[in-house]
Amino acid sequence: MSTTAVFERLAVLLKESLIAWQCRAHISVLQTEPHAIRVHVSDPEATINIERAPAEMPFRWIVETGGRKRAAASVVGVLRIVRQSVAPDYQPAKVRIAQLPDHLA
Amino acid sequence: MIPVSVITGFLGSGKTTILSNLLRRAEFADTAVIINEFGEIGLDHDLIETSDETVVMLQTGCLCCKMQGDLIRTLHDLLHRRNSGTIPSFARIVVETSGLADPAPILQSLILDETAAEHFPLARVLTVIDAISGKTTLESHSEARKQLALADHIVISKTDLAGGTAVDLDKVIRSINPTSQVTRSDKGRLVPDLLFAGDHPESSAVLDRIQSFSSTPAHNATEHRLHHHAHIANDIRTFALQRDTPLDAVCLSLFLEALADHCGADLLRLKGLVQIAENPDQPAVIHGVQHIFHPPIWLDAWPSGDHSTRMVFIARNLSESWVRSLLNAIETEVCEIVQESAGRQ
Repeated sequence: MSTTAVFERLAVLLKESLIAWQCRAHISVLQTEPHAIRVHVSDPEATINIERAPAEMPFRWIVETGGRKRAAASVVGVLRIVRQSVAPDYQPAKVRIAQLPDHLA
Repeated sequence: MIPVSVITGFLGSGKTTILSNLLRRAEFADTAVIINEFGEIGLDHDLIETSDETVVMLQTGCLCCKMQGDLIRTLHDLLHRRNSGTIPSFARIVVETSGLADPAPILQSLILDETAAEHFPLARVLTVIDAISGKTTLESHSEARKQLALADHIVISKTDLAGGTAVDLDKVIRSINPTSQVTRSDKGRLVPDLLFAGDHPESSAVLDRIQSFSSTPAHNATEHRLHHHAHIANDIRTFALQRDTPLDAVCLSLFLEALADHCGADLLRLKGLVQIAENPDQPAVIHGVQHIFHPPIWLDAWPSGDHSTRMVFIARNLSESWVRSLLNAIETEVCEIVQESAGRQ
């Protein structure tokens, strides 16, 4: 699976996500080297730039929003940062792993 | 006469866990089970480990809305098959409703249908309410309030996980159903007597309870009018993901993390049988309610010849295409990482 495929799938996910969060935005995949995804949000106006981190870095993605660069280890991390950027009130609900019932343990 | 008990409770309250636990006990060996699931793919049948012949899945719709005739037909069919010796003998029946069911029409059919009343007396209505999210559920969902109001016995589940929140829940429960006995259950454990022992409720008392709840402000005229598909009126949707190729364990982990991250309280229920690439011969059972997930349970073998991954979602304001896009993006990235790693070696 090529890097292009990851960018394309991430762009589709971001598009679906922004619709779900009722956020008006335009997404473009820049076919430059290196690839990037640019999200232009209309209200409040903002631009989010998503690029692959350099290979020597211990994370995979760099998300630049509001002049600040943040690192993400996976597309799940990118999604979380983008949502925090467009919806400042958003608080991720952490997964809570519950104990199994006795008979299933 | 074959007594029928009804287990009801909102999505993810723990009905199937409690029922599964009960069916493992010797006292429940002679029990037939009818399961009604809300969703295009039924899984509870696969998750309850008991004799297949005495478990019936009613999956073509919600019992409370359009399947009351199916329930009566199924009861008679079970009786006929028992009497003709084509299925093991049983002495009682448990009906597990879907999490969104209004129990009233089900109870009315059992009481008012002449043939049902003659052969299948209503033994008990047991409502399961989750100690963690039960209070919020009761505040948000009229179906949950009605399930509670019509209970003969209320079971508060998951008390081992709830901490101090159960005290508030008690007050809410008492405001809706002040008279029924309340029992606490941790880890799905329950005393079997709760379902069948003791006096059966008087039919007139059950009908009075239905009538009484229908006339309370909690179930006003608008709510009543909307009920028949409150599932849809409340933006609750159900859909299933089915796939034939196995899923890497790390993909499942990231997928569940993202679902909890972004859906939170809107993810009313997620359950599934998943074929994991690292261990494809043993299906992993996943259960989630809102942001709470149990660790996957590994079954010894697939319950049937169908080894596909099946995940059922019941959620509010959740788009199926978003869920599919999320899984696609995660899988593509994991695949890329695996290829990068192989290229380095």
